[in-house]
Amino acid sequence: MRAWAVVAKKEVKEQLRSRKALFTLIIIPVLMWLGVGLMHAFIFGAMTPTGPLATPMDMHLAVDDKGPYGLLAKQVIYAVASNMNVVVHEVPYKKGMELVHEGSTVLFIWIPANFTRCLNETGTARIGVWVDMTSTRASTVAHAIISVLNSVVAEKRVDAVQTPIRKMPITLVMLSLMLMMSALWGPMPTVTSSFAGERERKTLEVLLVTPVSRHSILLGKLLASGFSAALYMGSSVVGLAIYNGLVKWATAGVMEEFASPALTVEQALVVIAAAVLTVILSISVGIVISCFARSVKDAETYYSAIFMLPIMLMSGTSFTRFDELPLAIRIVILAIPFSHGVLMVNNALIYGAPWQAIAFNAAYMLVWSVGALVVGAKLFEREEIVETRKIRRPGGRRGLLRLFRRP
Amino acid sequence: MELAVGLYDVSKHFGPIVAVDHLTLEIRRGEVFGLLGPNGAGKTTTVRMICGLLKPTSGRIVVLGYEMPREALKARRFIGLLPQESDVYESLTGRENLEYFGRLYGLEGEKLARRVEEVLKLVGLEERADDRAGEYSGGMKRRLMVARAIIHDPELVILDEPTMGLDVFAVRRIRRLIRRLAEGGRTVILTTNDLEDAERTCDRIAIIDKGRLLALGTVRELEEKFQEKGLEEVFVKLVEGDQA
Repeated sequence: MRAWAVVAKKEVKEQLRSRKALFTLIIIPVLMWLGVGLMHAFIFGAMTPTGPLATPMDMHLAVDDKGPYGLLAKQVIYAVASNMNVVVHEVPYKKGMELVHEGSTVLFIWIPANFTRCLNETGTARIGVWVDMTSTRASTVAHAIISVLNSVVAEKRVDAVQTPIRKMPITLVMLSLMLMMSALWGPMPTVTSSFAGERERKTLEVLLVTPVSRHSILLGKLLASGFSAALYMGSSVVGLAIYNGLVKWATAGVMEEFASPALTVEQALVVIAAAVLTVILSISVGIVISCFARSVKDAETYYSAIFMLPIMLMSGTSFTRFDELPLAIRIVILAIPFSHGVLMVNNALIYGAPWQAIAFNAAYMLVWSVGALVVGAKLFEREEIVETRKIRRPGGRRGLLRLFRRP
Repeated sequence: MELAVGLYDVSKHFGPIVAVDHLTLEIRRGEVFGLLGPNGAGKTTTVRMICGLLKPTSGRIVVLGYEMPREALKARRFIGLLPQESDVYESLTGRENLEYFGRLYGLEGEKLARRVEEVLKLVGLEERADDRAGEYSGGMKRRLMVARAIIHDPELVILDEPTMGLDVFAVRRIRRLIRRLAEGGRTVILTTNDLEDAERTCDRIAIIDKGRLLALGTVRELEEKFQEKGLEEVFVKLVEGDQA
């Protein structure tokens, strides 16, 4: 065999025997694309009229014009709605406005009584569109209706007077998302170097021989990780404030809709609480990961791979109305504790949800953090922390349950 | 005769691998005890069980009167360990490394500062104490690790290959240190592949292979028992005989 082939064979053999390489090369891409595929399939599949993931959306319509263009507009709206799996409920204008004020509809369109007359006399007419800007789907449907209507009236023009039912404070959403991501990634360097790093440097054995309990060692490392994560988040907040200021300055007087409104004290407290809880959760999960990893690089690889899913979910939930997602994906999002950081922020900043919903988000993350810490503490007590050889106990339980076996 | 360490019919299995096989040993207080064996003989596993880092699959271990690993936290106050494979915190200075471990062993203030100076002098690192440990040579790091193992003046010092990678001067210094510890009433367990090291410093020696005890006694007793001149000949005869 030629030298290059010998080298290549050895390299491939090494890669195939490395769990880390297999994880990075095979599992991560599959998981990532599976996640993106599921997200997109659910979001776009819900809009199809007859597809397997079709989920109908409700909209409201008030038609006060009985003339030919009024009837044409109504037909166009029904056709577009049918094509996008939207159920149209016809209501009087007054009822529609009540729904808008209650926030009980995501899309309300009003064809005024003078619609046909205006089109005939001036060639242009106006319709009223109230759209919930936090709903991607409602915005898309409204846009489609206006486009099709304009193409149907040919030489004439229909102007839509759009009023947001609920605004999407993009900069706030961005800020909270970035803060959540900072909270997720901030602890990584400390957690991985503090636990897996001690093993890699082979200083852990000496540390474990001191008369300090492993719980105390764990607590010390936990606090240090929290401190560095707090520093990281602090810098992130400063950076984001600069970013926010720049955006406001650059868009002053131009994009009022997108300018960042100021946070109330309550909202700011919720955002900070969500970030702190995400940090605690991230550290707890990071400890579990580090207890399994043999080196800092291994720990970082696992950390990145495992946290990719929550990041995708965070991005997805930040810009999409949660209750608009199909039930299956909502269950997945609710089950993953990291999603609750963003849900908590969204509940406070966008939806004005009751405090019980925000408290649930917080409690769910806290329960998971405590659970992960208990598992981490048990893992830290294992002999495998100092012994690289596989320790199998005859008749013992397998997997994580073994950690909780009575001595 | 007071015992420092007692291992009674101790075995340790890692899945199908038997690392230590029904080992019985008694180590007296104040002696320098050599634990010799070829690579993979079970020396490090035995040391880890003595420190309470690993639980024996079967058998009983008593260290300084404490049952291991049940009373490991109490016993560790009096144990100093230099593992075979270890390192120092490179971003800390030599002095900071020692202070960190001193504090973990409960030393504080003036007492800690005095003890740090003492051990730095013992291992000959007093002039480089305030340099970052990452700037130390391999030999200096090893000396710092030895200092770390004795920072709390333990009753039982376990040195796993303490002279590995050291130059002849550093080796002599470590040998003198071991003798001083023994003269001060400390018990030293020395695991090494360096038979000359063992012959010069140990009061008694145990030779183990495949986790089993092959021989135990002073160098002279072993020479007489196995009709060989020198520890190396005894060692080779025993280990080769065991492997055949």
